[in-house]
Amino acid sequence: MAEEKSQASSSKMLTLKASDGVLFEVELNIAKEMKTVQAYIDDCEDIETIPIPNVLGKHLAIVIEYIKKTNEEYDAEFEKQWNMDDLQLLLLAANYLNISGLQECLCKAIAKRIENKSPEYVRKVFNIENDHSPEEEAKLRKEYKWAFEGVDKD
Amino acid sequence: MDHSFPQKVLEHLFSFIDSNKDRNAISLVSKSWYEIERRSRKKIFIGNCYAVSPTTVIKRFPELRSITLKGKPHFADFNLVPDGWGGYVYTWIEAMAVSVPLLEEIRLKRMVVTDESLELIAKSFKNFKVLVFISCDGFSTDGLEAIASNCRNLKELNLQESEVEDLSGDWLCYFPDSYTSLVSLNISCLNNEVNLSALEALLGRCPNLQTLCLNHAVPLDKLPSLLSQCPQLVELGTGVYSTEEMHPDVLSSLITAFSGCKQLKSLSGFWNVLPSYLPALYPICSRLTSLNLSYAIIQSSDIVKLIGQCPNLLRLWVLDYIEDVGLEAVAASCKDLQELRVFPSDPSCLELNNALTERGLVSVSKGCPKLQSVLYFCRQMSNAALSAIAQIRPNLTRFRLCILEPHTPDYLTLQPLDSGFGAIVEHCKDLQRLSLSGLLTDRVFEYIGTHAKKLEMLSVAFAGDSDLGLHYVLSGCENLRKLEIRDCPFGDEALLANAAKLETMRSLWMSSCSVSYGACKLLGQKMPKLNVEVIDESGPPDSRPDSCPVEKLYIYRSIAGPRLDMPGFVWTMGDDSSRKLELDVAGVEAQFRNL
Repeated sequence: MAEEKSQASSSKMLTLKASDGVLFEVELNIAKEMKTVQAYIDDCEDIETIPIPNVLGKHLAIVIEYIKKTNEEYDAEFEKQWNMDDLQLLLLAANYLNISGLQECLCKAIAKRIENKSPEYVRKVFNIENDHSPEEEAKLRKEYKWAFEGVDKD
Repeated sequence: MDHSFPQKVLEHLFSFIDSNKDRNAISLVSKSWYEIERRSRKKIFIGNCYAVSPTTVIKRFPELRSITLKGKPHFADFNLVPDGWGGYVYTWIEAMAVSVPLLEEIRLKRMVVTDESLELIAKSFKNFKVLVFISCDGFSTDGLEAIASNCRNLKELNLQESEVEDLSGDWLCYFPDSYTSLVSLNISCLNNEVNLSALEALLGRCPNLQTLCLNHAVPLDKLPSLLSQCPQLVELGTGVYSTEEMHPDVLSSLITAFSGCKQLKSLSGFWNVLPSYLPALYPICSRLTSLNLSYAIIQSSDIVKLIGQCPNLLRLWVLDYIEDVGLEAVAASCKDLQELRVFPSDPSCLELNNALTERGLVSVSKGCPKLQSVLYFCRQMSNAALSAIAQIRPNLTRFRLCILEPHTPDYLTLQPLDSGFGAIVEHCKDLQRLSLSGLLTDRVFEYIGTHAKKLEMLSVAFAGDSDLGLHYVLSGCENLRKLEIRDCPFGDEALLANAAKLETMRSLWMSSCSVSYGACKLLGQKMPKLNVEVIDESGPPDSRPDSCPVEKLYIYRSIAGPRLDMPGFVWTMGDDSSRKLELDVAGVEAQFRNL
């Protein structure tokens, strides 16, 4: 109780409401890391509860934790806890909330997980349908092999 | 769950995907991913400049910032590709000057560059940063003047092993006083003196300089003052490493200068070494990871003293002056060694060199557990040694053995070296590159076809008995990309029987073999998507019977069709040429009728 009081006196608290209704009380300086939220604050000075319609409570919690704890060490370990599905939803959240550090961390992590993988694998994990016709795909594959193959190691 | 990513998010994600292989994969995911990927791809590698046209590349990847192009076939290094063959970069520069003004990097290998190309680069690309020419030719220091004058953001100028017409050493003066962004400068291939005061001033005002490779014309007594301008160097190529007479004050200045270079990890240069100056290097030896002594004429004992102090060497290039005893010292001191290259000091000398034999290579193989890459010139070899090397070092990925005299057998048993190389391909399962030499029958190719499943590049000279040899390789080596063959009795059969294989490879070179002109024509007709190029300096091949063997043959797959810049001694086989042939025949027939 005493802790909360001292927090309240040192910095304003804000409430974020996730898409599934879950509420999060965060300090102003944490909320400001989300540029989208910052825009709300700038536009409406007295606002106390900000709706975050695109992000589930589960992911908003993770985002808030990231902002509180982010540093080199934390970032390096951060992505290891989440599966590909969560990483993608977190990236969408970070994009919506406009948090550049988190976006970068997540992009790096996702990029690493699709390194050295086939197009089929990537389609599967992103749940994307292949709309190349078989002829188009064959043509592209051939062009890549014939003209744009990987580098030569010396 | 469908996570439809906004385009901006995908672009951001793709910016962390670097390798062309991965970019190729993600662009195949869907049409929208293809579009987003191709519009954001910055780096392109073109392994054969004739495999695709500049227009296609630029249209496909409009945001190109960095291009790497390779031109002439590898055997050009051994003077097997006549002058004028091709590999001109001008059409690429011209196209990019118009459509890719933000281009930043050009890296070329074995291409012909002209002063016009350099001038065009200098005036077309405002943000130009990196120029690397490896084994290129066709330009002069005049072209370099244009680059120096205009490329305000240049970071790297690397002319490694290129042939440059050295008209004046003053081109360096064309870097304006306001220019400070140099990170890497390699002028080791230049023949004449560069303006040393301009060089010193340049070094002094470029605080980010990391690599400096001088040419042999830079005198040793100038090195300390040059180094004092850039003590932050990571890689240094010295000029000549001697003076007419030994000067103790030069030695002490060198010691001071080298000691001041706390980041120095890589050394090269060392033309004409005076051994009494080698101790200047001792303070930095323990930090060295790369040492290139391939121009250094120094005795084994001096090399040994130096290398004994380099326990962290990863890469060593050296002349055969090192001898077996020197290589034993390497094996004892350089436990992290990954790459060894031993070059011949006198390739034309036919006498046996008893000091540098297979024993040196065996020592290093035994002593250096991380050895992956070997290039070894020598005069004798045995199956036993090769077998030993193969079994001790199955982690080899590149193995190039060059026994100088063709057809040299195992010196102990006088047998072919088939089983030795067989052991190499059998044990070294990740072998990617292999060069053969010595007396070899079709059997070695059987071993290669059977075992060398990861092999990507194979170089063959004076080997084999019959077409079977070529057939084994073409039908067995699943990952083969480049095959180069000279002076082997390989003819039409294997080539025609494995025509389809050629579409799975980047290129095939065959010179002084037994492939007939008729077979080349047939191959060209049968495989319209391959460029089948006959190189023959003795005159048009159709002035001789179809059964005559062609001098040289270069076959490569291409999406650009036949090239349009062929000199008079290169002919493309295929529908066009056969039609041309029909017309010529009709013409001759018509002439006969008129007689």
